[in-house]
Amino acid sequence: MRFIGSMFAALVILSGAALAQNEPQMGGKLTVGIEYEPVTLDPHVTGQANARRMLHNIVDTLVYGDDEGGIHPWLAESWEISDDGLEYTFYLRQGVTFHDGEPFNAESVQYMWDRIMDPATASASAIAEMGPFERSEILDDYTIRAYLSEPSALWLRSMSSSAVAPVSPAAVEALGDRFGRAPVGTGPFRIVEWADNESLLVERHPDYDWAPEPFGHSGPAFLDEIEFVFIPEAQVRLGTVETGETDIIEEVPPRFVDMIDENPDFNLLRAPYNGSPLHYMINTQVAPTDEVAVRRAILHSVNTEAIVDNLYAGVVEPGNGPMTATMPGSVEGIYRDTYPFDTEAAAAILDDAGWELGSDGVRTRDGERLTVRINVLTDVPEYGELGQVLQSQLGDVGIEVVLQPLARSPWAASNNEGTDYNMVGMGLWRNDPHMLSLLWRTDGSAFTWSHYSNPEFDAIVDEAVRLTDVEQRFALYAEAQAILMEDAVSLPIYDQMNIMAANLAVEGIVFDQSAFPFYHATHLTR
Amino acid sequence: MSVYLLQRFASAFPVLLGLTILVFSLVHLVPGDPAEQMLGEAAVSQEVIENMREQLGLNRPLHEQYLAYVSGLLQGDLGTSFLARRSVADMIGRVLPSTLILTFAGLGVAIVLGVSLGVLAAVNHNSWIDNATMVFALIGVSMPSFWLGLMLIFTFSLQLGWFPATGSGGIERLILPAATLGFAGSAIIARMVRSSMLEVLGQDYIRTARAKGLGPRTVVLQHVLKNAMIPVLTVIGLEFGRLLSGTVVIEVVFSRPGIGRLLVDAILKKDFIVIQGVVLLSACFYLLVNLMIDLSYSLADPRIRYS
Repeated sequence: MRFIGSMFAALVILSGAALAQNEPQMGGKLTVGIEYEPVTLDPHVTGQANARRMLHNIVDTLVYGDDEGGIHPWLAESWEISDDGLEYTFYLRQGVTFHDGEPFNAESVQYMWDRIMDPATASASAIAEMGPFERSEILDDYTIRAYLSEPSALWLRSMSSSAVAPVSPAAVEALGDRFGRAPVGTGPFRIVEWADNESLLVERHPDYDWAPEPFGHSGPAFLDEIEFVFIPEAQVRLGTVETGETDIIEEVPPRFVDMIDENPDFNLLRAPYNGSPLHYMINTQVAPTDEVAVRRAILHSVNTEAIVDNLYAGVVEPGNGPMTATMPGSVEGIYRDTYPFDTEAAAAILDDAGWELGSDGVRTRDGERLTVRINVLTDVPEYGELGQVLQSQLGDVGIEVVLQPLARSPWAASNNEGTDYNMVGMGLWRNDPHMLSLLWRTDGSAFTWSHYSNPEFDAIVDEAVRLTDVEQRFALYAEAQAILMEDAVSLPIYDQMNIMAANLAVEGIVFDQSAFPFYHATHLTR
Repeated sequence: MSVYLLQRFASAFPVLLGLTILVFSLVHLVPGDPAEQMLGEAAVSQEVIENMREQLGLNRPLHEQYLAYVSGLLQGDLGTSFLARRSVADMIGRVLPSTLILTFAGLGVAIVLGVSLGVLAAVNHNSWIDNATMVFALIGVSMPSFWLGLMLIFTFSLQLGWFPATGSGGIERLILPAATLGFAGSAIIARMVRSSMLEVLGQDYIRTARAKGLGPRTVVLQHVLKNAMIPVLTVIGLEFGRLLSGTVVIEVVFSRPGIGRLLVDAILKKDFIVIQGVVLLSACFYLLVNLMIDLSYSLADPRIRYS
């Protein structure tokens, strides 16, 4: 399960820092193989990751945030935050135009915010980025002020999400419901044609001259065109990059990585997804995992290195902790530092708690068997494979595992209900440590599947979200991660990764912190 | 003939009615609230859900919803996808030609291959050719088209580089998917042609035709095949429906646009309005093709008259 969060847009330049080495040549068409076609490309409406992958080449945002928590000017040249943290004044860049020639100004920013807040828009993820936003006020053509109902450490960074991207108000009004088929932004590429079920063609926005400073060059994109082709079958997608039908493909399944890695004709590009690892949330309300000793024993018993090597060909990293290793504010190595893989330690903990090994290899206490039930989402085969591995690894220390296969709707319902399982696998993509609240704060969000409640943890994350000082915030989140590990509410399996394959002619691909590729600086050497 | 046609159309009416009820119930048979289902598990506000219910008319009584649905259908309105905010008729219309081209190409492959193999097997009854053809047919029926498609892509696109693996437009992008689609159908048709021909071959008039000195070619093509075609035509009609549904897998494997792919996407996104539209349309096609097959009997056998 994958969710997209606010976009940091910090850059990891892969493929050998090509920008610095080669003088990029203008021109050419890049063909990109993408897994599935999004329902809509309206940035304010969509909640789909694949819409984002294409959209951030088509739209820009007010600010640009890097992976160390820094924020850079983009469509906003500068900004001021009032002392009480409730008023944000943006001074907008002048001379920026939308793809339809309409000028970008304070009015278009107000229009965007109002449109996202309007329930009729039915925004899936942009509305979440708006947080405590209340209203805005236009001070002059290029100055706008936003008013929040409470201070938020996230809000400025939220404005770097491609979900909160200014679009041409004239185009929205003119196109109505068709706007989602042909969104008009200020980005380096504009839409030419979207062929149903087949492909999306975009071309260079020739007037573009306002890329943020960390991009390396501010002018128009190097490529003439990009064609995003929707190829659902993973093996076929992999085949097309070999035949040259595509130049680059997204979402290479880890088990096919070896095929590309050993082929000198291709580059393998990897960018880490931020957020939680793919992890098992451990239910703290249902026996036997309501007992912290059992949860700790589970964390000692799982060999994540072996899982990564066997199921994922060693291309991903073992799970770091409540947050991935690359996540800003993450405490590196916290899982294994707290709970090394040690089946003897696990056995000792269980012995001390009175769970005694029975003759059939399963522990019991007062006639109760030590049985852990895992909710398995059947839509994603990976969870079935992982479930079997856990069954065997936990079985080694005398914990019996029962897999409960469920389709998505009943699976989500059971997770929300929280009365009928001990563990459930999931992954949440987010770019701010505030995600810890979403997963573990008492009644934090739709994903509190550990059904965990700890007033001390709640107080820490509540304080952290109101702080604007990055160091102070991260110090609080470090405490929060230590508490989560101490209480053993998450079993991290591996840090997720966006794996792409490209032919050697493609250079200068830039990944933002959401691990989505950015093609503004991409160029072809053929 | 025209009276017969009217009767046939009239008899299709209850079928269509039942179909609309079935398709309409789809939204309401799914466990949970349809509006919430369509919006997915992303945390959305109650306001958004209410808004969606309103737009879908889900807050009205069931019979009112059904009547509104049917009256919409009668005006050619298949509804509007709430997620894509597009008319379903438009979404289907854009990709339908691609599916029809694929289906007819697949049917062409199935008929040409199936009839040829069937004739070959029947004429060489009980020889190794007959056995080989029937083994081939058995493989064809048993092989999943998903796997066959991937194998064809692997061989002809990746290894030999003869055809592109994905997309639509141009005969070179049609050959592999049409071959995949038609292969299983050809096996079924071959078996039917063979058994039907063997039956005809034993008839007296065939012996008469031979006795009066007609060449084997004329006997087989003019007398045997034509008389053996009636049951084969029925099978071809059934095959068309199977091929149409078979495009679901083929379109995903070959990344072709089409209603099959539209359906898969809609199911994954729980876009019920689109699912309804595609299912209804496919069923209508099926009815129409079977009617055409019934009418074509008279072409194969002039003794069959419709009055």
